[in-house]
Amino acid sequence: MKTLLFALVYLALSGPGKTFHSQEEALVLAFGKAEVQRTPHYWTKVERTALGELAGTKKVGGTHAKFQAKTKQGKVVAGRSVWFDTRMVRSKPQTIMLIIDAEQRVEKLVVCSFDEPLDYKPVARWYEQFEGRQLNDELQLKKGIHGVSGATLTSRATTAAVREVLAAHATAHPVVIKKATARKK
Amino acid sequence: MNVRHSFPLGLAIAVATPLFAQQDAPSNAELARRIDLLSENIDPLSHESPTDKFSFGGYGEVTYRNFDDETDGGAPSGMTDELDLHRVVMYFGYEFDDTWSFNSEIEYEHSDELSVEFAQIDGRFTDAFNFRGGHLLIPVGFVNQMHEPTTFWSARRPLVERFIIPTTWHENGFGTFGQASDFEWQAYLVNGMDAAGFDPSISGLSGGRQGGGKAAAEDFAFTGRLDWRGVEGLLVGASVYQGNSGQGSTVSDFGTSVIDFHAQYDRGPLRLRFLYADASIDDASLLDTPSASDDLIGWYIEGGYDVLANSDSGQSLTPFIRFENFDLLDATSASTDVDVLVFGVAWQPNHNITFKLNYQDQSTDADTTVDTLEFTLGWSF
Repeated sequence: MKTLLFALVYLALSGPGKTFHSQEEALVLAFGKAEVQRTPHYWTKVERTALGELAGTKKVGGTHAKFQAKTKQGKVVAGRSVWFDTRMVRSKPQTIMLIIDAEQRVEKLVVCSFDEPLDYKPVARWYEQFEGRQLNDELQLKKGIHGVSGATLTSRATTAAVREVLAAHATAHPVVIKKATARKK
Repeated sequence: MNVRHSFPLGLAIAVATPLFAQQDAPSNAELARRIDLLSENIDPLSHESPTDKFSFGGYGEVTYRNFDDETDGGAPSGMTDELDLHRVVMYFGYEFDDTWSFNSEIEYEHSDELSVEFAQIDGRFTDAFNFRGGHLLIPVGFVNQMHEPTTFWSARRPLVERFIIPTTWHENGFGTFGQASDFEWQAYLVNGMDAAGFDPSISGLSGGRQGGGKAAAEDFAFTGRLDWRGVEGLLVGASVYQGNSGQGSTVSDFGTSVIDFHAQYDRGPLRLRFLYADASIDDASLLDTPSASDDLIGWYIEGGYDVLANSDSGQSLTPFIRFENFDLLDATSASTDVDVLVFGVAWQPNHNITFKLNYQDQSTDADTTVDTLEFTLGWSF
């Protein structure tokens, strides 16, 4: 009985279930206690079109923000960056944080908030399949990304989000793309 | 301001903050352009209107069924072809706060039968442990909780999930649900079924559903589900329903149980699905409509391949095949099982709309079944 009472009190006092990490908390997960540099990108028409082509959709944002760690001397640590994406699943949004490594791969995907009913939220393992992925043809449902029964809309929204963030990162770092392409050849 | 709700707005502000703080001062024209871009992000996020707390959706299906003129044995089938507005369902939800929400589905079936599929309060506490109460979908099988027409390929639901698992099955109750590691689970206490409606040899368990309205609550039942997703693309699980259905009957408690094992493999364009279901009604011979068998059993296996998965069309075209076997009189020595072969194709021009065409070939030892050509136009949003 005491255990049950404790569980009920714990639940009553525990945080709301829709936001798992605030933006600040998520950035600490990515960079620890390091100071963070925010860099906004305001895309030109040409950049936005290119970004959309990379992402595989015409509906991409006109701005994206990149977050990078700074050294104690205030220098931005290049190579590893964090991006956030918020988009509708069915009628409520999901926000994810993506850590992108120097090779333009998804190092980590963190679900920051999920406002749809939890029935639509895939288990953690499903999100893990994005880690290590680059922006290519395989990064699509029914290709390299497997679906999840009961959460089809979430799987679509998440895949689109990862594609858009990787496309934004690539648009922001065209030199890195050239290097990566050259390396492949 | 609600900080947790303001997350996306905070993100937009985070983007905006350095707008005027850059070392190389942008021109007025550039500033105007940036503000236009930012407004795209901010507009939908910054207005806390009352409608933000509501959510709407829905699904529906219109089905054409063309019956063979004769049974498998050559007798006149006596069936009339039909074109049916099978169901129109409206989804409605409301968020009270970040923890508590209301979700519901109201269904019009055959355009004139009204029912509430679910109307539930969810309390979200942690990923692993949450509360759900009200009018609930029983968490058994594949289709009962996830039955939008875009989630299965055939024009109509599998027969095993209509007779052995009586979809759409919804009762009043409360319980808990959650996910941890690779597991998802649900467990609810609900009102029991009502044995007065059972006619198991004809309609399986479906007649015993109470559907929520003034449901008899002399007997209760436990229902639960456990799913494991430990391998990418694989879902393996089981669900159970156990309770009495007598509801005050002096004849018997009519203990009723359903157990199912299910598995799905969903990888790339391929999806395979298997389900086994076993149901029983104690003292079925004492029912108002007696049955010679306490046991009902069925299973099916299904596979489909999206041939457009590698195209960039955004469409899907999935030829599929399903084999079902079920027996509503399993405990009798007579050969009463039914084989069902369903094959066809489902085309989705986008993920909200589906056109489904299939042929359903039923067969029994008595050759009394009628084969059917079926077509469904379905939608979900």
